[in-house]
Amino acid sequence: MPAIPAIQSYSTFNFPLNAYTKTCEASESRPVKSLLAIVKEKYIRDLNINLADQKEYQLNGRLTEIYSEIIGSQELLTYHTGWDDENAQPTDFPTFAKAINFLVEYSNYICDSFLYKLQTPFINIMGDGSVYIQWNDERAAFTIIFKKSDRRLSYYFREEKETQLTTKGAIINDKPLDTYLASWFKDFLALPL
Amino acid sequence: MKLNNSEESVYRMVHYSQRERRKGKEPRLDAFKPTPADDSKLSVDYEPKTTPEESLARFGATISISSGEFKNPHDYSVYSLNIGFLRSFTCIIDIYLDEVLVSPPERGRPDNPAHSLVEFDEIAEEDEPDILYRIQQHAIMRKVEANPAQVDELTMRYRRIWD
Repeated sequence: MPAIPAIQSYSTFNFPLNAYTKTCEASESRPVKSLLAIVKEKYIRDLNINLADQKEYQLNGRLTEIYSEIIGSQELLTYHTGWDDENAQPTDFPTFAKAINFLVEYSNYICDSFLYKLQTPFINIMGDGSVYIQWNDERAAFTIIFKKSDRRLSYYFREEKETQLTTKGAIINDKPLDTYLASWFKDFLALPL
Repeated sequence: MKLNNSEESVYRMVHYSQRERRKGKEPRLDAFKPTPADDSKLSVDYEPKTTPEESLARFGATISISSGEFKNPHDYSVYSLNIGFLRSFTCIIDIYLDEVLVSPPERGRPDNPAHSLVEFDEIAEEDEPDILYRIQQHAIMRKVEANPAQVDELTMRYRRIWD
């Protein structure tokens, strides 16, 4: 019987605009994959991502659209100072890799554990060299910013369109994913395989 | 002059990167926030004193910092931001007219009687995704179409001032 992973609580915020308070919990280890997911994986090869020749990721073979978005987004690493005709700053590899790591982890987890496919987001750069990932459809929207710095947290905002319920929160960079947030993605921004 | 009429709007010209244009994407998340070099002030045009074509053409008569050439006005889109909406954010300190009248005329610096500034307070990191998303979505709903032929004609006229 595997040991039950310890639960870590983090990220409680109060915010003036909607005065909404949210507490998240994160599991310290990836949960065991379902048997069905393991069987299905035997027939699908992972997609290998060699990020700017510096870091490698493996993405579930079903996530071809997300794979294409990640591959295409590497263009952002080539933007130089003034890429917006003004004084916008370039991003750097560690910042970009934080964003890609987040997307790979959550999309793999949702695919492997729930047999759901996360919708394809848009990965983009900001004027200060930060990188953001954004989903926006008729059910929900989610925006997360990875600051160009060695900050421990990356902050996000999400909105459930039908109820207009909004939440602010954060993830801890380079830590195991937040299973509650992954469940939210599955419920609002993913579709069954 | 302070811009306080909550029914009025300001125009923000947004640059599109090649990738954004290729993918048909909406303005980037921070297109409506000053960059670190902007001294916390976002440049906009006061709608009653301009047209979308004039605003874009003035961009076309401005020199790009990165290339040293005139900007291409067709790399930009115009978004209308309601003054009342902007003032609902506690991080926005003020909105005021800041006319640019260059005398004697300088190449790459056209006069802009509509130029205005939206002054921001510092945005806490945890609030940034929320605030920028709300402004971005507001803007997307209020994209302003400009007549490309008129933009070209005005751009040439503004550029000729120095020839």
